[in-house]
Amino acid sequence: MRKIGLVLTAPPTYSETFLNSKIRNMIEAGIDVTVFSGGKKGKFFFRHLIIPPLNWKIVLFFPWVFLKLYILRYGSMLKLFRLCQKENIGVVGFLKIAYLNSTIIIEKPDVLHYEFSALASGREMLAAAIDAEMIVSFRGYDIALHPLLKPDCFKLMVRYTDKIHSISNFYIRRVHQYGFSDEIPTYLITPAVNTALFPIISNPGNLDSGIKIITIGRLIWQKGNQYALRTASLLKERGLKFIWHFVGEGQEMEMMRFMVKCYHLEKYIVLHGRVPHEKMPELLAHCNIYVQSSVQEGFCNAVLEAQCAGLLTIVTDAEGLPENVLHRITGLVVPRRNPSAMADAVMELVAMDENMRIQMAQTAAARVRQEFDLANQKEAFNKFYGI
Amino acid sequence: MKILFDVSALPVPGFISRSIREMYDAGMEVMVTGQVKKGFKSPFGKIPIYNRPIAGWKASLFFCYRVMCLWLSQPARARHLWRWTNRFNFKDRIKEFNRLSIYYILRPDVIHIQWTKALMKLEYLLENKPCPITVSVRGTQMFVSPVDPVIDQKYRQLLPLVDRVHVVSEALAREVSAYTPQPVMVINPSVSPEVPKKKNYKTQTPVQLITVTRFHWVKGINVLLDALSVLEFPWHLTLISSNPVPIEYIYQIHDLQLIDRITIKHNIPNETICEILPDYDLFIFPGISEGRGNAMLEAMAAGLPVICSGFQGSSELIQHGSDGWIFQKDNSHSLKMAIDQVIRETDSQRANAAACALTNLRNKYAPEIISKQWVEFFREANLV
Repeated sequence: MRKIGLVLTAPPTYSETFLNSKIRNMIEAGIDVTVFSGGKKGKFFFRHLIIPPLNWKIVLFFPWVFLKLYILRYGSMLKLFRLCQKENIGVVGFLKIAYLNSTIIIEKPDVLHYEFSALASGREMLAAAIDAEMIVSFRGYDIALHPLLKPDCFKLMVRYTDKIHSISNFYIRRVHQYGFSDEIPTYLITPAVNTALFPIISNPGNLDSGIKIITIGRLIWQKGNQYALRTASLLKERGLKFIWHFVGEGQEMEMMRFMVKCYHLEKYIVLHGRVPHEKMPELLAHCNIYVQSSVQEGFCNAVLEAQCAGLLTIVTDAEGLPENVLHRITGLVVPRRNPSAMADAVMELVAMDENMRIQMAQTAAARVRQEFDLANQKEAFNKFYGI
Repeated sequence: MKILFDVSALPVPGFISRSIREMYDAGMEVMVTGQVKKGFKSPFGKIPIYNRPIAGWKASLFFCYRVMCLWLSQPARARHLWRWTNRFNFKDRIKEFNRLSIYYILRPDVIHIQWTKALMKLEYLLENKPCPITVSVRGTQMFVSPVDPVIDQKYRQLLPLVDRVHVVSEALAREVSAYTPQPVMVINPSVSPEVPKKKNYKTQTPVQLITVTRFHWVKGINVLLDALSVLEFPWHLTLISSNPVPIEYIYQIHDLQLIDRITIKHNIPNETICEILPDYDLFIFPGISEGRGNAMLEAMAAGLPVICSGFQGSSELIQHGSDGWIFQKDNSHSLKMAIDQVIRETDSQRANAAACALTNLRNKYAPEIISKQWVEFFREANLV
C-alpha cells in the first residue's frame, strides 16, 4: 500500500472541510495516510504524528531520538548528512533537521506532501533523504507573502521539488518566476464547493427586492474591507439605496466599526460577526450581489459559493480572483484598491438589463457546478496522487 | 505639589516624556510609574520611576515589598485592597496589588493617568481615590476605541469619576464632553521651535517626501501608498515609523511596484528626525483619525511644507492653502491632487506657507506657554 505523508501546521479542525474531505477520500481509496504536524495529540479519523517542537525538551529527548534514528533509519540519516554537506549545511544544522523531522524520517512515507510551501522551508532535502517523492502545494500566504519576508525561501526548494500543486494559474506563473523549473510536473487543482449545499436562489439576477450586497470572509487586511467600506460610502453619495452585509470576524472589526461611524453608514452596513458555515446558504439566499474587495486572494471559496447560489458577483483582480470570476461572463472584475471602480461596477449591475443579469448569474452558477464541484476536485486529487 | 504620572508602560512617546520633564522644570515634585520594559533608558533625568512589573520574579519581589509598605503605613487600606483583589487568581492578584498599591504608598497630591484606556484597569482607584485624579484623553483612544460597545460603556462609567480631563484638541474636548460632566482643558503638546530649519524651497528631483508615523490602520499609510502609486513625477518617500513594518504594507509596496521609491526606517531618535527633516521637500500626514499629530507639528517647526488629512481637529492645526494643505481623509485621489498642487506651487508660495505655520506654532505651542497651562491644570485639580 502506498504511504503518503501530509505535512501541515496543525491537524485539520472539524470546520476545515477541504482537508478533512481530502484525507477521508484518500483513506477510502486505500492509501495509508499519515498527517505530520505540530500541535497536540488528539483523536482523529486519520493517523497523526507530531513534529517535535524546538524547545528545552530537546535536551531530554535528543539522545533517545538519535539512537532510534540511527538504529531504524541509518541509510536515510547517512543520505541526509551527505545532502546537508552538499548544501553547505553544518553539523548543527543537520542535527536540527534530523531531530525536528525524526517522526517523518522514522515513518518514511513514499510521498511527502507539504500542504503549504512555507512548511517545506528547512526540510527541502528530507524527501530525497528518505527516497520519497516531494510534493509542494502553493496556496496563498506561502507564495504571495512568505517570499517577501524571506526572499531566499525557495533557493533549495526549487532543486528538490518533484511535483507542484497550486490553486490558480496566477500562482503557477509566480512559482515559475521564483525559479521552479517548467519541467517539474505542475497541477492546477482549484478549491471547490459542495454545490448541493448552495441551491440557486429563487430569482437570480433580480434586484426588485432591493440591493442587498454581501461579503463573506475574515476581517483581515487581505480582504480589503477598508476599500469595500469606501465603496459603500461612494454608493451612498451616489444616492443608491442598499444594505451591505459583512459576515466574518477578525482584527479589522475596530476599523470596520470606525469607518461605518465615520462615513455615517449605520443604515447601510450590517456587521454580522462570525456566522457558522451551515447558515451561509440561508444568508446568501437573502442577498442578490456578492462583492469581494480583496487585495490578496488565492482563489476564494466564498466567491464560488456565492456564484453557486446564483448571486451576481463583483470581485477585484487580486491574484487568483479573475480565474474564479470571468469578467462580463460570470460577473464583474474590477481593479483592486479602487473603490471608485467597484462603486461603478455596482452601479453598472443595477443599471444592467435584467435579462443580462439573469444570464450572468445563471452562467456563473452553471460554471461552478460544472468546474468547481467537490467531485471534480476529488477526481483531480486522485489523479494527482496516482490513485 | 507632588504629581504621580501613570504612563502604563515605559518607554513612552517623546511628547509624553517632554510634558513630564516640563512639569519637573516648572518646580513640581514629579514621579513616574509604569511597567518598565527591557532595555528602557530613562529620559527623565532625576525624576524617580516606580516600576510595576506584571509577571515573573520581579513582580513577586515588588509585591512582597509593597504589601509590607502598605501594611505598615495604611493597614486599613492594605486590608481593603487585599480583600478587593480576592476576585482574581493568585497571579492576577499579585499583578493587581502591584498596580494599585503604588498610588496609596506614594501619597501624591494629584495622580495623572496618561492613557484613557488605562482607566479600565483602575476601577478600584477611581472608587477609592487617595487624591484628585486627572487623565489625558488622546486621539485614537477617544475617537476609535469607543466603537467597541464594551469600551464605550466603560468610558461612560469611569470618566465621570475623574476630576479633570486633559485633551489635545477642541475636537477631542467636544467628544469627551459627551462622556463626562467634569471640566475638560485643552492643552496642546509643546513643540520646540529651536530645531534646524529648512532654507531652500526649490523641490529636488526626485521630489523628497517624508512621513513620520506608526504602522496602524488609523495612520492611513495604505491611502498614502495608493496616492503615491499614481503620481506622475519622480518622487522618493522616506517613511519613519516607531514600529517595524507589518507584512500588509510590504505586500502593498511590492504590489504597487514602489519598492525602489520608498525607504522605511524605524526606531530613529526624535533628535535625529528633527535634524533630517529640513532635507525633505514635503511632509505628508495621512492619518484617518488623529488627536493632534505631533509628528506634523515637528515638521512644521522645521519649516517643511505640510499636507495633512482632514482628520478631526485638523483645521485647528492648519488652514488649507495658507499654512499647509488639507486633503479629504481616507481618499487617495484627494491626497494625490493635494501633492500635485503643492509641487505646482512656486518656491515662494511653499516658503510662505511654511513661515506662516511656524509663526502659528510659536504662538500656540511654545514650551513656556504649554508649561504654564499644565501647572494651571494641576493646580486646579489639586483644589478639588
